[in-house]
Amino acid sequence: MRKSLLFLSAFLLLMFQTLAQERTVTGTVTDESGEGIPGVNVIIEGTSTGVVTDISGNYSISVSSSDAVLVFSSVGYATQRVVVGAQNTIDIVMEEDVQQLTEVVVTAFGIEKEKKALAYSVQDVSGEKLENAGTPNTVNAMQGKVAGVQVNQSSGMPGSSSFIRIRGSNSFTGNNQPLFVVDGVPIASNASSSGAVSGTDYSSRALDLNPSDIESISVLKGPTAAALYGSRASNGVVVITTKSGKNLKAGQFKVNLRQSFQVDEVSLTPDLQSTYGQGSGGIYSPTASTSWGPRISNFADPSVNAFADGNGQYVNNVGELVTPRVYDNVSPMFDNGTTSITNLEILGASEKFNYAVSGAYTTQDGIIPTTGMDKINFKLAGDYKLNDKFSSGARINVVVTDIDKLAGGSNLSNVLFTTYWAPRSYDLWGTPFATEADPYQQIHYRGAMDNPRWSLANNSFNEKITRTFGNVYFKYKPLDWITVNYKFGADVFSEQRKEVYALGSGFTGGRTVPPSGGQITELTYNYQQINSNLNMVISKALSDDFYLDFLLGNELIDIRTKSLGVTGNGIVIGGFDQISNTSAQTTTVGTSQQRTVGFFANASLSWRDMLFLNASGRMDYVSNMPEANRSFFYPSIGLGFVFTEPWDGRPEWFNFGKIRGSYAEVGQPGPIQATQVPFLSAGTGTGFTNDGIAFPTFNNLIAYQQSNALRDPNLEPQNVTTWEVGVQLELFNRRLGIDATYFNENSTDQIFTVPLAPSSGYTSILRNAGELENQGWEVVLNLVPLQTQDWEWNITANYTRLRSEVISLAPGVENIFLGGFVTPNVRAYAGSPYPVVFGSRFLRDDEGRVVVDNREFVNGVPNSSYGMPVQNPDDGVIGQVNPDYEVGLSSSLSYKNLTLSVHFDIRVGGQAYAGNTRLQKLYGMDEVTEDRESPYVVEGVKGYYSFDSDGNVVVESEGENDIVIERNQQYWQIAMDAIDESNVYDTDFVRFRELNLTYNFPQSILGGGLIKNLGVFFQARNLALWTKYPNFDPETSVGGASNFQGLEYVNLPQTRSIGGGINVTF
Amino acid sequence: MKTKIIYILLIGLIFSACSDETLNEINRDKDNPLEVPLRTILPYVETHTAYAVVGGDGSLYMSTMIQHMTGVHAQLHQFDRFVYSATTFNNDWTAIYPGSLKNLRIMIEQAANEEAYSYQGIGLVLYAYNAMMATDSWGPVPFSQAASGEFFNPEYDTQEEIYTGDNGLLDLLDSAIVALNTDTPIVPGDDDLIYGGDLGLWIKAANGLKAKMITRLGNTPYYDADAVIAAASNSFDSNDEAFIFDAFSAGAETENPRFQEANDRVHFAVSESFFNLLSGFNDPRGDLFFDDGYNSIPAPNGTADLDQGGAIYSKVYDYIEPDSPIQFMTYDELKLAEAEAHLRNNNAPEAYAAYLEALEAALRRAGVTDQDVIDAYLSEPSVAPGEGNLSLEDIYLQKYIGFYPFQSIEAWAEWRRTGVPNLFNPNGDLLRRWPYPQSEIDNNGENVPSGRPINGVYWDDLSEN
Repeated sequence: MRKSLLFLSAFLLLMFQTLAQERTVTGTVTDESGEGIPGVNVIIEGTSTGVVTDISGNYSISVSSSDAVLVFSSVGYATQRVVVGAQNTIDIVMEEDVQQLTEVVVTAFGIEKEKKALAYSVQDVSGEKLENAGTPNTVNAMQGKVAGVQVNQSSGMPGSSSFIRIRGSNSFTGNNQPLFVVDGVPIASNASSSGAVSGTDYSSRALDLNPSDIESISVLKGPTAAALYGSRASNGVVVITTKSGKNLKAGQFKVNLRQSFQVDEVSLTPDLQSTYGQGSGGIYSPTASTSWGPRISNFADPSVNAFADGNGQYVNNVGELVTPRVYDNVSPMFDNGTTSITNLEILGASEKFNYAVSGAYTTQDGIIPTTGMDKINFKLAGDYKLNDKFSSGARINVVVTDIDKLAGGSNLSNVLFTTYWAPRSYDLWGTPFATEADPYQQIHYRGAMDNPRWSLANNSFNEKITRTFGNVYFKYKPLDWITVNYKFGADVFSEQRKEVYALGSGFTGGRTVPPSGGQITELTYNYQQINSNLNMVISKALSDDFYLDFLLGNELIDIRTKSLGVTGNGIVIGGFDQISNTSAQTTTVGTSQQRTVGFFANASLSWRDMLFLNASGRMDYVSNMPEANRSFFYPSIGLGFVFTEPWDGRPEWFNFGKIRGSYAEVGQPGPIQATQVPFLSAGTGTGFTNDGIAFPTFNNLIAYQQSNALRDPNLEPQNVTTWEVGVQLELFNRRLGIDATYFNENSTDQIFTVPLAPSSGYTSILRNAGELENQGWEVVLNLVPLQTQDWEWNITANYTRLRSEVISLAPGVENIFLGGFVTPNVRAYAGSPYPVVFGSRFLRDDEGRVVVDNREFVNGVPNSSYGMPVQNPDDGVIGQVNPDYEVGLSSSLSYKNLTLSVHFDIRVGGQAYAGNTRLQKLYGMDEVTEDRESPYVVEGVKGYYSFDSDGNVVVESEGENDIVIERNQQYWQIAMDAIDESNVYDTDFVRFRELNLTYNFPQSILGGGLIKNLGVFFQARNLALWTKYPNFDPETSVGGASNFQGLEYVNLPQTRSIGGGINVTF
Repeated sequence: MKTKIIYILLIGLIFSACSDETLNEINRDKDNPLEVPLRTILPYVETHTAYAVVGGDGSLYMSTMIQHMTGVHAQLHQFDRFVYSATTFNNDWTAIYPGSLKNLRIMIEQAANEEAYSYQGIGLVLYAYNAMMATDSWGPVPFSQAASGEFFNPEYDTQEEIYTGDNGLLDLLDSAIVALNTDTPIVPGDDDLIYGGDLGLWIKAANGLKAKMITRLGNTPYYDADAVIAAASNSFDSNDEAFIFDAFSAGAETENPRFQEANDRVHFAVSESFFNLLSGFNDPRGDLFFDDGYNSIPAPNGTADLDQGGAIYSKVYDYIEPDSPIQFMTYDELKLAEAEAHLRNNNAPEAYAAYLEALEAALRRAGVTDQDVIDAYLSEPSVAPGEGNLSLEDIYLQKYIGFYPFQSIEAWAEWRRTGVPNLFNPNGDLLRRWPYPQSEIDNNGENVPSGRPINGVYWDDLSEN
């Protein structure tokens, strides 16, 4: 291994030896009528060096070799290649492109390539489309815009995390989100912690990007596209190019101001019953958590309610006489939220220098009071060209984010829990939430949980992020066909979290008399990533027919994180939110370091502009693997053929056609410190307590326990093998475009924490095992049904069909737990699609019919579940999370300066566990519990089960069910609630995701004055949702940005937004 | 030349950036040690055994199963109606194996290497106790291949083998006594939260556990009344010496687990059958155990309504304090085991004396301090029938009451062995062992016995599946 490296370096050295002169080539690019064409890209082939023609079509570019080839490209014109030779002036007449689509895309390390030369699938999203999405989160703005890309937004709260996946998951339990590369340098994009069923959601770092500063996003979907990025690219790469002054002509200066404002409201609230009040067993109880009490209309009847006074009133939980009525406790929780985004950018260029300065201010108030986000983005970009040989530049971004959020999931302070399911007879908003004598002594209709109003007033959850990222680069062209690039990037941020559960909070068991508990957590998480990339590009025409691009380079990535947290339990003085005001403190420290050093090479050979061959290789050395298995090699190879090029008898309407195929392997190393089994600071707990015991708080003793996670000392890298084939067609004068890709990704030797039988002494071992296969289709359809002088109508459809299957897990391991409750939970199951929902099931007979309990008496006592569905004593798979297919449908219609664009997302198939709906039934609050008294026969067969001698379940049934029951408290709260499967629902939906109406004032009105461009727009997001999923949004997940998707449980809701804004260019 | 040097330096830099030494250092765990001293393991295993094994999830479930209490909220309400699954006792299994047994094994082996026999002996006593909790609850469980990290799919040993085989539980206790009697300069101090390093008391605890285990084998040929009496004579002389974890205190993250449950969840109400049992004896402990004393409104096991807030039924929480101790083995249990042994030896006078001694100790331990009240109870004919009338059922009933409120798993074990008291739940038969946990079925399926939890364990009905 070392030998080949030495060879590589020696080769590098040799390459530096030969130097040559550089000179300038100028010219004019005109169309067939002789008019200069502005904005034509003039690129030295195989490099990222290029210029753009000015308003008259003039350009000037320095080349360092007579072998250099200039590529002239512009949308709508056929691309031309010219070998520079001895010429100093090259004038070009561009032909209207009737033969091929030339789209320049950004590929690995920021190198621009013609799309037609690629052997794999790449898809772009323009900055404009991201802006039009009307969300401050770039990842959310990508939703539905790229085939094969799946985005899940955990909630509509400001700063909520989003989960992005390209072509499914490659890893059972590891990271499945793509690498984000901004201006050629990788940055952190994930949330620093995620995937818990209770607690607060932490924002994803992709949130820090400013959508208005993005020029374009290129999504490199498969490892083939991304192989050059090495191990981190196995989940695909999101290549982001930010705005710069590069595209401006010398002397040009531009100021752009955009202001948008929108109003956000809660998208869905649950459907509740409004007949029955607080209580259980038909009896009113002022402290019951459930609504299984009497009819509210009977609350004042002393024969029904012992608390009734006989005069039309009854005594409530604070001892007041009140008149029974139905309250709407949900609506008052939600306000209209607002989102305001101000973006100012200044761009300028001179002969040698161009720059871009931008600043954005985003301020959001959430739909629940106290929530919100403030985000400030600053960016400075500059490129300086010293001479024809040497240029350099820098990009610096500064982001400051401040998010106020709420606890979600099964957290006892979740404000929605007892808002959604406060009994309809209870006046949540009219009854005080704390006693007059002590503001920390809560009043609530039930115990243990925080009163939502008290929680909003006293608990707080804040996250502050300060971040700087950017790069400097140097570019040196010793010869016109050699470019040496060096880029140094850094990404440094600090997250500061402060979470306060006030004195008396139910989360800390504090609802005692007098109030107790309380918890304050302060956590600082520091992240530092350094990236160094040195590469050399050789671009040379080998002959008239053959052209070669060759890239050779080295990359170093070093990531260090440190978290320091202090949790103080037991607040002494209520309302004073300082760690020093707590009776016991626990400190946690987390340190991590990892480094990857990679060497890579890529060769692209093209023949007569119709046959394109690409091969690459990369060798990585990573710190987080055992010494013996530390280095690994990833190859990729691809071939593209433009079959319309040599096709003589091609019909007129067949403008362009290409077939492509590629193959790649990418390795993925294990997590950090993958080979050691440490002792951890000891503590203990049970499933029924929150605090547990923590050392050294406990008796001031230091204590340790060995980690339950073993680690295989012979761990090897995980391997992803992928191939894809595709076809790209442009038809009918390019009014119809089809790009279809079939892909197959197979991840073997999965590195994951294989669960162990706990009797072994350990609950898991980190090792190689198992295989996951993703295959699917991505089809992008572009249609221009209408195109005239004034009218243009575009339709784009992105179709994704993904099948993820767990081929195998470790020997003897049938399934692994990804997240959730004891039951239900989300798992990977061998031989099943990934992932699945696992939990308790209906007992079914051989024909799949539900078995209904036919035992009228049990032990001589009437069976209260008689006639109700029976739970299968064995748990199993109860739902498939992934959809069958997804379609993102965009359309825009323009008339002169007016453009209307809409975007719809369609999801077919897939299921989720509806935790909210389950609770809603349990508490007797769901609309379905409105009918408690009419006779009902459960569809199924009568029967029960026994066990055979091997302990297998044997169903004993006796024909169709005819037992008449009422769907009462016993039915919903006991019989059905025990069966998790009864709360699994399809997540199919059609969503009207975006609407944007923009009017750009014509130049005739602006009159060429100070204002060069003025646009006004109206935009809306999540306008409508059609789904059979009950009560809540099927897109939410309590897992936030983690692999644990498909389980909803008192998630914070999504929003619907309407607004507009103005866009001015000076 | 100059540029050449620069290039060579540059390449040198690139290589040093990925040398094995550099990358190994980067990958080193900076936050956690890979080896720790014995005195930092002992406090964990003791506390964990009390909190998560004796006071764990299973103890809550058994409180309602054995009708010490009635579950009236959430999982406990469902469990009271016999809704449970293979995942119900996952936490208990994990608490015992990777929690207690693995760390105890590390401690015992490390102690042997360091000739710290005190730690070795203490480790063996705790190991035997934890392993007993496992086999008593599940029957056949991994034992000889358990918790070592060497066997990823440990075999299940029969309960008979676990209790009585070579290196079985009784052998472990004998080895512990040997180790505790061996001279060593390394003796625990404050890190021993049970006995503060008093090895004499640890020997008494080992003997107490022997008496407990032989008594538990009461339905098997291994029962030996004389051995129980002998072990008891080498064990506790008072409740002050009993095997009790008493290091909980008021404050966040330091409280008794059942107190934390009361604070956080409030699952329980007074059990109707337990209320009736105590009131039938005029037991003074009823006034302490039930929040409303004998004016309580008890909840019927198996049919109670949901009532977290205590609107319908009386609660059981005033008795449970943040610093309440968790008992592993009390003096009164020892005396009742002794009484049973004497009675089975037809030595009624000794049996009755031990029985009365146990009752008084149990009352005092529960907080009944007034001698008049104690005397009144001991003169209650249904409680103290006289030397000639003492039955095994009397002994078993008092044991059942004495295990309230925290030793519900032990109460369940003794109920299975003795059938006392007669417990009825309209939802079906009480569990005779816990279902094997899902985590074990998923990952060690070929070794997990297939029997359903309706069958008994070996010392219950001599079955092993």
